[in-house]
Amino acid sequence: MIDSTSWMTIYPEIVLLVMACVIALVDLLVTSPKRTVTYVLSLVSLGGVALLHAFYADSGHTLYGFGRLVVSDPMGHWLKCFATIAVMVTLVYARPYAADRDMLRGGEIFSLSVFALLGMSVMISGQNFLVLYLGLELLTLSSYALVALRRDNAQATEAAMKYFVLGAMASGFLLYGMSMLYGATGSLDLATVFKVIASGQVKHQVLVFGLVFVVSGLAFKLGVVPFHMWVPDVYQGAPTAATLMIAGAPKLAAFAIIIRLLVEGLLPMAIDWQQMLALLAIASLLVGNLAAIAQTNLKRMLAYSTIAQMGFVLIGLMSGVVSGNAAMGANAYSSAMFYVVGYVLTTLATFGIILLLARQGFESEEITDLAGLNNRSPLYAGVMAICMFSLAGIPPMVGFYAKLSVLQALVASGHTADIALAVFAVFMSLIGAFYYLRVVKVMYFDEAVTATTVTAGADVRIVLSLNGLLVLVLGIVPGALMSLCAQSVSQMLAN
Amino acid sequence: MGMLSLAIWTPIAFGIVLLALGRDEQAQSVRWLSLVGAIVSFLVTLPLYAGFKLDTADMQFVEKASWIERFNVNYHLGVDGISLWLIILTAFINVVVIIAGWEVITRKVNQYMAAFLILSGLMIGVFSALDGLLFYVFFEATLIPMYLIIGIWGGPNKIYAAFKFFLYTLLGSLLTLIALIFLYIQSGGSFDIATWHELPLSATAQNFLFFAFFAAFAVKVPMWPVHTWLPDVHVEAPTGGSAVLAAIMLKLGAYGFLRFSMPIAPDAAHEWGTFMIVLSLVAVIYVGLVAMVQQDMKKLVAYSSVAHMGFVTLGFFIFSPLGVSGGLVQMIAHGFVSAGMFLSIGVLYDRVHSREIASYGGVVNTMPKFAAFALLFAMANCGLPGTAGFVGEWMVILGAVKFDFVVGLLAASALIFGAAYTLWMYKRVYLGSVTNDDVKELTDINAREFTVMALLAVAVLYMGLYPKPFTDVMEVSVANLLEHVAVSKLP
Amino acid sequence: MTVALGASAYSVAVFHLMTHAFFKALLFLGAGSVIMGMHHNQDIRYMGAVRKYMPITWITSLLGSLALIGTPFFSGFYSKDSIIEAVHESNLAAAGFANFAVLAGVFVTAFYSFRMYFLVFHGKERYDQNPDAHHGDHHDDHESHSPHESPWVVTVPLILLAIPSVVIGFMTIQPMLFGEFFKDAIFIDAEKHAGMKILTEAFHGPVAMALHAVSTAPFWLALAGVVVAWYMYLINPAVPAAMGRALRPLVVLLENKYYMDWINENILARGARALGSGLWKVGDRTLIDGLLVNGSWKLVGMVSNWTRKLQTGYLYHYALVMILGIFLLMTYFVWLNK
Repeated sequence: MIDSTSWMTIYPEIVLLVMACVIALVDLLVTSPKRTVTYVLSLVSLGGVALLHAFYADSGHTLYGFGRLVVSDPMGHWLKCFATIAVMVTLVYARPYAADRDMLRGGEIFSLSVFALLGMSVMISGQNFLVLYLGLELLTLSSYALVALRRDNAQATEAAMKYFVLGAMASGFLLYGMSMLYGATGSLDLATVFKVIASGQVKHQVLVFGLVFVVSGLAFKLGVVPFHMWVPDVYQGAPTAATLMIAGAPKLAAFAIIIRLLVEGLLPMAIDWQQMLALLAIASLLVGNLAAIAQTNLKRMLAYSTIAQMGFVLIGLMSGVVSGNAAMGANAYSSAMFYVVGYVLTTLATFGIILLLARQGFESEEITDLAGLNNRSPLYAGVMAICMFSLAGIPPMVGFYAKLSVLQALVASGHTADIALAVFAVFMSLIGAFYYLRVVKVMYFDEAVTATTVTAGADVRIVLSLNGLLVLVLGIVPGALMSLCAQSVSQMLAN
Repeated sequence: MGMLSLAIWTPIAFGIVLLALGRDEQAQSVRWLSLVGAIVSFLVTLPLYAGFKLDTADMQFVEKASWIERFNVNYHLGVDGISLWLIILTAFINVVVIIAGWEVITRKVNQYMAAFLILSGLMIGVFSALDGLLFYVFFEATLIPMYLIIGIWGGPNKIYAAFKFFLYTLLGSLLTLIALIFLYIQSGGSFDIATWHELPLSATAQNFLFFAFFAAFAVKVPMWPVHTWLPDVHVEAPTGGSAVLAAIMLKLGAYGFLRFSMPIAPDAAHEWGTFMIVLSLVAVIYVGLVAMVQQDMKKLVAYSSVAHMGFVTLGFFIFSPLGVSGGLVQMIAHGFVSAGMFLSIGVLYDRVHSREIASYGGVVNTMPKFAAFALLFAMANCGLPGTAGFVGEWMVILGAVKFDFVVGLLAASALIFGAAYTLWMYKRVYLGSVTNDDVKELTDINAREFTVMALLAVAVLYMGLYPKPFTDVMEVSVANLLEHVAVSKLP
Repeated sequence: MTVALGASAYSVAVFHLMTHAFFKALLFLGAGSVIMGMHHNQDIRYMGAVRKYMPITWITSLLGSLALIGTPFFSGFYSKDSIIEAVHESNLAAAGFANFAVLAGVFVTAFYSFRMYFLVFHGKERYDQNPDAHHGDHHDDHESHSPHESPWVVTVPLILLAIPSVVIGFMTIQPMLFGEFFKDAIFIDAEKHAGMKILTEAFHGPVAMALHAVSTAPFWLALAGVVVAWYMYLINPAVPAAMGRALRPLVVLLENKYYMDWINENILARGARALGSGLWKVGDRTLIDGLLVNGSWKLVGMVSNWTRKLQTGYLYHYALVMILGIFLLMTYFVWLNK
């Protein structure tokens, strides 16, 4: 029989599943176009789930459930907590935008978001190939639907098509890779796979064959070169609310699944996948930063910026195992985790501003649409500026500390090649700084094209200001978040 | 709260309040609040001098608290003879600049004032940081307010200038970041600068570190050949921005050489000393010649700044007490003098809206009081004895001659070039008869402008006539630094 | 003065410094008085017979000129002749040339001093011949261009300066050069440079020195200078004109001050500006800014545009890239990276 511990491990996910269905049902009864009831219900349930996760994470236990199908550990719970909060914030920002564009009908945006979050949660805590795949698919299918939510918009439909087709390919790669590994090791369970590979009894080439496919699938989800081509088109084409939904929280899930698969399951093959990640990282930094310079559309620019930022995350992930020694692992993976968390926080605020500025019929996606924002609304210009500087890695925003952590993890090995890579990475950051600065320039140095003041509901205003403030404050006192990441990752590695 | 924390956070706090509450409709209240903030922030730095012990090279007014446990980074502050006057200079210039921007800035006044206040606090942070990462955070953070100052209130080509400033300085600093991380790892997990001073390092490591630090500090100083951003930025920046940039921000780079490059990598510093001296001399001579042919007054003074800072780096890398103290004294003196020069140009620009020398001529006829101040600053820029500009130059030249006669001779040529370009500019702008209608209609400086000029004039004369308070403060710390730099660190 | 320093006659140099101060100041002030009296005309070619109108200026200028040329008993005589003696006694390599130079200088000094004196104060009045006369500052009537004596604020200082120009040398030569005035302030290596010692031995008091002057070369050279000036500018003005025509190149050289100013302005100053301009335009603007700074930026921009075009918008291109990616990774990691 399934013991109570197992149920405890997936308790928050059960809540999510139930609430997703409840929200969908409740919305049938709601008539107001603003869907306030559904909205509040979603926020309350997500809030409750976030609190649950925080509580679990704080307690510090690591528990396995359903015969090691899932794990409940601090790292997982913190990531899930952040993901939940991210989805909540996304909904807050997205609602006015969605209301203007008739996307709230049927309350699908809410239930789909909760399903997506459920998928993310399963990804974050899975310990079995199939469970991880299940979570991934739930997330991606919900995301396809979210992107396609504006059925009457050609751009959105095109983006959804591209996302779907390429996503299906990537999922196929991942599944194929997993099946190769299963075939080679004889098990779907990560711990067993780890043991079998470590014993050295399996032919290396077969393993690497499977590994390449697995890494490709994961790389697609993260959005790194050469599996990045969906990112600019989908980010730009999708309605901005959906863009935020797929740009924010899912990155945490992507990070988690990489940790689970590569670090927990395939660590003995680290020499191989670290090299792969290195190549992907270099390519992403190059393509992402260079292409972003030429962009005039803000969402597309942010898409390329994402590609480059994920390159940095990969740099963190590839620095864990040095000369066969996994002692640096905690340093490297916790740095990558801190980077992703900081990145998601900043992305939320960035897209929040874009959503805020978009009015009925006016998308506000060009960079020039931000012109003179400092004159119209110094507060929001300030929030956007803080985010831009954070993404560029300028102190004292959180983004600087994120870059610092990752670079530190890279250089810690002492190899000249790593130092050279670090120098390359900072040069790419410099190129990156240009397009972030350009946004600041447009807001502060250019004259406003329209004189309209920016109006927003109280909830958006408060959350957005807090969001921006948090990016700055986490830059002034980053210690707590850093330690949190460090501790949770250490515990994960210990098991 | 410690004195140093007070010095750093008071202006920043005032700045934040201004950002949050200030509106263009209440511009006068905004201005008065900024002035109060600047004056309070300056007064807060005075106890640092009053309580400073002259006989020790140890750090004083030390504050230390754990900041980022994960990386063993501490909020660690302190001053010694090298940084004390730089801090006081920063706060003083801030007051001057706030007064100078009183009537000229009419839009987004609160943001303008807040930017300067916050910038001032951050720069004091740079000078007092004893932890490598804390230093870096403050150092980089200063880019943000300056970028905004240039871009919002600057001249016609402000966008190009703002980007050039930001990206050029960022390039160097990013390499320094790698150096700091490298030191963190080499020292077994510490960002403490004092620990790094004692850390033994191989020759390769020292060379790498020296050049990584050089990348950032050379661009900041600026040294030839990475100096071209300064003329462009000075021309486009608003007057207050130019003044702060020349008076203080350039010194951040020179300070970095003293605090990082030399004591952490002394062997590399000695090995590359000749290279640094050559670059400094090129700055003095090449840039001196270039300054002579400038038609834009601000560009001329910008090039003059490069030449003066060439003196500073020259002084540092001859590794003698006269040289290093002379360089430091020159840094402080240049702070006063260049602020005076830029603010003088600002006074003219506010009236005639031209920086071209050709637009002027015979200003002394219509603005005699102002011309007198401008003459004082011009003479100080040439290094006239009795003004602040002479003391540092004299010490560096003396040190240079003792080091090597030819170096001293070439360094002394700075005096000739300095006189050539400054006095020639002064003559064309101020002397002679009035040829221009704009000049005919000039009104002499009002009480506010007079205050600004007077404050700087007093500083320039005081330092020129009685530099002892400055040199006394520096003496022991400089001797200690040189003692440390003379010892090899190879393992 | 500097020659005296070279001859190790330091006290003589300082002594000359002092006497020179008096008579040179006197001469300048006198010149100023004449200029003021001549309504700001400075050109001595258009003066003449000023002694009739400006007697005090005339007498004091004459005294100053006499002191300058080294007339015995005047202060300039004591200092100049001591220098000439010291140089004569010096055994340094260049002393011979210096000796010739100072003696020639005595003649030339006397000549030009009294040329000016005669042209200004004696001869015929030539005021109306001046083509550049100031018509601007005629304060009173149109009475004349003729000069008038300066007010007492000018003439009293002239008189006050004239007195020491005449007597100070006589009075102070003994204590300053051969007495205890400098005590230990000046050191001379008496073995190598015996000039001062010899002078001290030869000195028998100021009166004797002045009377002795008649038998020395400087006296006759100075006198010759005065006489030649008198002849050429008062008696026979055609001579200087003829000499000027005959020695035209020399005159041009002298009028252009040996081209020293020309070299300064056209070679040094203009050259420095040209060098500065070159360094600025080629060095800073073209090479550093144009090539390195802006050039690197333009390069990045070009690569960026090229990179942007990789994103074609076609779904099948994207899928192809993904497959290519896998293929490359596979090739490297499975087959090549053993």
